[in-house]
Amino acid sequence: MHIAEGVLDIPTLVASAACTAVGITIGLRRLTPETLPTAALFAAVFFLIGTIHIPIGVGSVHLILNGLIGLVLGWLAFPVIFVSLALQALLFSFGGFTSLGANTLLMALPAVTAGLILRPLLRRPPSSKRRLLAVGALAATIGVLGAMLIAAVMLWSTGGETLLGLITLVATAQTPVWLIDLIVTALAVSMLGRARATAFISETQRDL
Amino acid sequence: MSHVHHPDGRLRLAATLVVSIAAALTTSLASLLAMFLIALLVTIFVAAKDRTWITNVGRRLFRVNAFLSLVWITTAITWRDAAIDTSGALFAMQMTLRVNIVTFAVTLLLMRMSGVDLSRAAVGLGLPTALGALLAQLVRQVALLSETKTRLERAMRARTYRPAFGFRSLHVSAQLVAWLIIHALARSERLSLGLRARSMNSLRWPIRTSTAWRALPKSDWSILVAVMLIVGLCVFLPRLGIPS
Repeated sequence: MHIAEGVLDIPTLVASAACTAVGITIGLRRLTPETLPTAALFAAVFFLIGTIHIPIGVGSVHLILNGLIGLVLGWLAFPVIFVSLALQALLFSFGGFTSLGANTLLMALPAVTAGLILRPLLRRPPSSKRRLLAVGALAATIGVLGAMLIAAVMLWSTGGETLLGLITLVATAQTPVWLIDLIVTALAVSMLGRARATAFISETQRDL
Repeated sequence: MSHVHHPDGRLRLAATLVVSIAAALTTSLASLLAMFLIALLVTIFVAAKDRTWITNVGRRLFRVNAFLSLVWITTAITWRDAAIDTSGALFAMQMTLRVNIVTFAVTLLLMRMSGVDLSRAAVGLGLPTALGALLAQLVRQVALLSETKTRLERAMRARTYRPAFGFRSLHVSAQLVAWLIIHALARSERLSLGLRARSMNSLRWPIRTSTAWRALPKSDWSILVAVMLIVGLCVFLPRLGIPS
């Protein structure tokens, strides 16, 4: 989910960039030269996840999985999503450089929220399969619906009533994305939880 | 070092940001149209010289204009009366011009810039060093992990998996995601052990410093100056007596 460059007005861009700067500052406190390769590895994983496409009819949708990013990385989701989006803007023209703050905020804030709310539920392994599936589904819901809500607020603050139709259309188009993300995240969290339960341990407890 | 000289990344990125900010701030249709036409002409000129570049620009333009068609459908037409909404059409036109100007600017000014170049340029313009280092490392790790992803996908295809809309595709995609994360975890543990075994205790961010601003050749500065002049001229066009 990206907002193209030139869509949002300057006050919205500045406000979202300021919020993103706060999130990145908190995230960077957990990043040291020693943990840098690990953080970059996870950023690469999430960059690559964005290239996985699920066919729907004649078209396809790509996975967002920002809820899963939040579960694995916590506050580090802000810098990791920021650099992934910067690289996507450069290589594929997804989003853009002036809208980087806005796009980071709409992806990372729900991710961090999902991490803060749901990670405590996974802290004491082994979790049951049902719990892992439920946590994954909730993370995807917070991630995708949160991103949709923030995007709607940003578009509303730019165009008001003029963009109401576009907001409705974008929200409707994102519904299948949410359902697909929900199933994939739930299954991925369930598999990860059983194969490597330490994947969800808080970043302050791990090296990261 | 490459024998082909590219202007300094910081100046190219700064020029891109100047165009993006000017396009976002400008509401005059005349100014936006002037910027769009100049960007289009330069793109055609560059594309005529380098045919391989046309596919890249075409793909980017198709993507952004597909989104813009939704903006036109939802804002410029009042569906209840089947009539054109003037204010909505004006808004959609402004957005269309802005988005296309920025797409042309990014494609033209950041042409052949790698992720590592981008990280150095961004750090040179004030981005925290930690973020620049993370971006540079991301480029390296994407190259490494994409090989792993390709291997996993090849193994999936060897087991007669073909992506289609259905639960099996979702299940296999979830497995791929989980496998990639497990690979990253295992690799990060190996990296961490390797660094400790070599008593690595670096307190410096691994990023190269940029050339001093004063040491940059005048030809590099000319890009930024030219962009600023063109943008300035376009922005002040309505004040020169040309109606907006």
